[in-house]
Amino acid sequence: MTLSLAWRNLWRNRRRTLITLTAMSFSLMLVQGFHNLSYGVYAQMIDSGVRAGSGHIALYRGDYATSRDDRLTFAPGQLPGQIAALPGVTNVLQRLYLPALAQSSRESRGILLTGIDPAAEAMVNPLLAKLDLSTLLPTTDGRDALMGSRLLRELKLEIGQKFVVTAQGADGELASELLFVRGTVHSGIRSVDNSLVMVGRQRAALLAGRPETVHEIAVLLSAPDDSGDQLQRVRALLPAGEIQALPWDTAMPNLANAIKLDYASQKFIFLVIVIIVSIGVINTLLMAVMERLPEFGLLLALGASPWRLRAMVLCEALLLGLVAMFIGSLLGSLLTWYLAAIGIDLRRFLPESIEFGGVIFDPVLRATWDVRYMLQMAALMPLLAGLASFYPANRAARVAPAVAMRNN
Amino acid sequence: MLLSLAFRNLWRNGRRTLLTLSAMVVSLALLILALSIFSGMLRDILASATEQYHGHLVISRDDYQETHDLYTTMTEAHLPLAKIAASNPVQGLSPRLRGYGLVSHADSSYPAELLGIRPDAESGVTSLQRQLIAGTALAADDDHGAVLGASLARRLGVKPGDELVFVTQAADGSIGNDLLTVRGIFKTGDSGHDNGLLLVPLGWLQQTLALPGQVHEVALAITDPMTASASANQLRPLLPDGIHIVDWGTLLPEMREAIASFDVSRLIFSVILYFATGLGVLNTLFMSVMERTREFGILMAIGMRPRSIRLLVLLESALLGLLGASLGVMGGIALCAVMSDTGIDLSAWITPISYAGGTLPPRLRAVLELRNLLDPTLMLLFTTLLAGFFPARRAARLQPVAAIRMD
Repeated sequence: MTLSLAWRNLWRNRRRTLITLTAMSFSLMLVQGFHNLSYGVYAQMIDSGVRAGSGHIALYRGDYATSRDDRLTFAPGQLPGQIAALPGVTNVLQRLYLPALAQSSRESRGILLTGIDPAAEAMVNPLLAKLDLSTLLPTTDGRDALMGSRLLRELKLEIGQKFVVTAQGADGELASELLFVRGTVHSGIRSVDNSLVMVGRQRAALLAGRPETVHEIAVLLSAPDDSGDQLQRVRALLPAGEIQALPWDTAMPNLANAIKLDYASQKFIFLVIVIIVSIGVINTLLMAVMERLPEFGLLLALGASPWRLRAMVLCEALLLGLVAMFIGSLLGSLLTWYLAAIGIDLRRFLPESIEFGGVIFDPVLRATWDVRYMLQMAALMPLLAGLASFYPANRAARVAPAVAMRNN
Repeated sequence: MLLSLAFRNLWRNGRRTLLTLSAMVVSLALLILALSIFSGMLRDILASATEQYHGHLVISRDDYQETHDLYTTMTEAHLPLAKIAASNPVQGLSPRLRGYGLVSHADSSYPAELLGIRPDAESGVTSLQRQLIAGTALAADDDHGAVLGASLARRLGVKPGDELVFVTQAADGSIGNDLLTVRGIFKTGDSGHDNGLLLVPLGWLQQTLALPGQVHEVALAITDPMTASASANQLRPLLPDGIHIVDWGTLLPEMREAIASFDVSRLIFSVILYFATGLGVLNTLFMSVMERTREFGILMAIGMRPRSIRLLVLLESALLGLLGASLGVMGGIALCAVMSDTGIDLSAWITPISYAGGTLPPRLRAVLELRNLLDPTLMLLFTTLLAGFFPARRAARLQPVAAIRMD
């Protein structure tokens, strides 16, 4: 009975209830929709980042992830084949990284020589996505190289021309190698475009004086490894020793932190919205209680307990929260559906691809459904309304019957 | 008279007005804080690119900034440096020469970029020499010292006092090869600089590269980095033919884009917040109009014009807005004061983030700019007036007889 009374009370002032409901529903819609948008954009950034970088799971020797000490190479042995055979693993990429000096006939520049498996890499690495198939590196031990676009210009080289790369070998002696530019890579990230040189993995290992070794094995999965189960399965394959398997957010702290910081600022907005909505709900309920004080006085005089009145105001608040929860979730789903299907096209505002946290992402921002989060935020609405009703409910329960009735 | 009436009306239901005010004050104060934190991040990332390396403005010949061509030099003596240094916005000016090569110590060799500088001039433009974690900065009369990035120093295994060998191709085609002594080690958080940048005396690099008297660029610091483009235009007429001056926005287009996208997020942020606040104000004003229906009817019956009634309600919302705005601005300034200087240190939680050619240090601090106060305040006033518009219209359209009979 309290419930139906509360429901009728809510609609005694339709306009007030509707405005409050609108504020609550729209806030829920915005929180759900924008969370899903960020969720989608982050997922896309992570996808692009792990493909060009460490993979969802990265294997390194010792502390290579943090120290980048080029002596920490290892022989992959049977590992790549074994990992590739695990369920859910789509690609296993082996790479070698070598800081080196590239020299053309006129200029010299510091570079990061990256040894890759061209055939495996071409299908997944976003840096190579725009590349014409004919410019792919044909072998893993050839002298052909792909070069960052700005580096190519700074070295005054053209496609087909030769350049010399000098790096330090395993014995500490400098070794030089003649390479040919086969194609260029243009990522839009300055630090990549002015320092990237990609060659076959075996060619890089020979230059480093560490044949048949790698610095990194990047493991790509068909779906993000949120639970860490895949990481455990990969770890189970590792021989006892120095080789470690790390999740992407440990291997690429720059990207992980960029996302964390961005998400933190979003949480701040959500928090402010929640505060403002709560104040709005308190305001509405309080108004509703104040104008009904004589009524509450009468109920008390008739023998209703103060708790009964509290329960009724709480019920009104919960109903308000529940209705807002349903309408808001419906609107939030519609917004998410729009953002997922059509997205926000930033190409009208920004000239090129967008970089954030060291990865390039698609200028069409698209949402991804995060149903669990949507449910949590939806459940927050009645909870918030319930909390907001605390003060008004108390106010109603504490009226002195005689004073309240005289007050009219 | 309308004004004092409006003011008294607001306080007829003090609790409601206070609650609405508190929503306005909270949203405005927090918005000012959020925008100021955005400004702080922006300043930090811009400073990391300009004040740790590029300078706000750079003077160089032809397309040097595009190619970093060794031979695209300028004769320092022919540049009107004294005149530029005396110009109004210029705070510091540093002639530089740049070389790329291998640095070695014992059996480690790594590629590096060498920036030949005059230590005292460079200190007026960049802060690299003040971010040392070991050793000392280059002294003005040092002729073979070097200050290098922390990661490079760790990989080379050097500490202050150790010797380095630098090998490169000099401008005359010979192999330039010379010794340096490590004086200090800097750490900026920017992986590119920490990994591969050395500051060396200008004279030493000119000799090693066989480019006596030559510089590649002159980096300038100005008072306000946001006016760099205007300052570049102002200084341009001073320069000889073929010598160009560019601002950081031209030098780092990705940074300019990052700042533009910051502005877009500012806008989205504000709109979302005021949407929620606006609905709250609308609610309050509607309520107060509804419960005074009878009163408005009487006012009209005794000859008040609908226009005056509308004005009265609008005045109430304007007063509410002004009150909320002034309290909110005070709150915002107070919050920003707490969050200025160092702000919140996040270094335990995240590492510096590199993007768009700069590095975001792991801290949140507020920088209060005038527009951070002005924009949200104007938006709040606009929102409250807008929220007052519908109740005002409703009040003005009442039919006196029906209104008095109501209730």
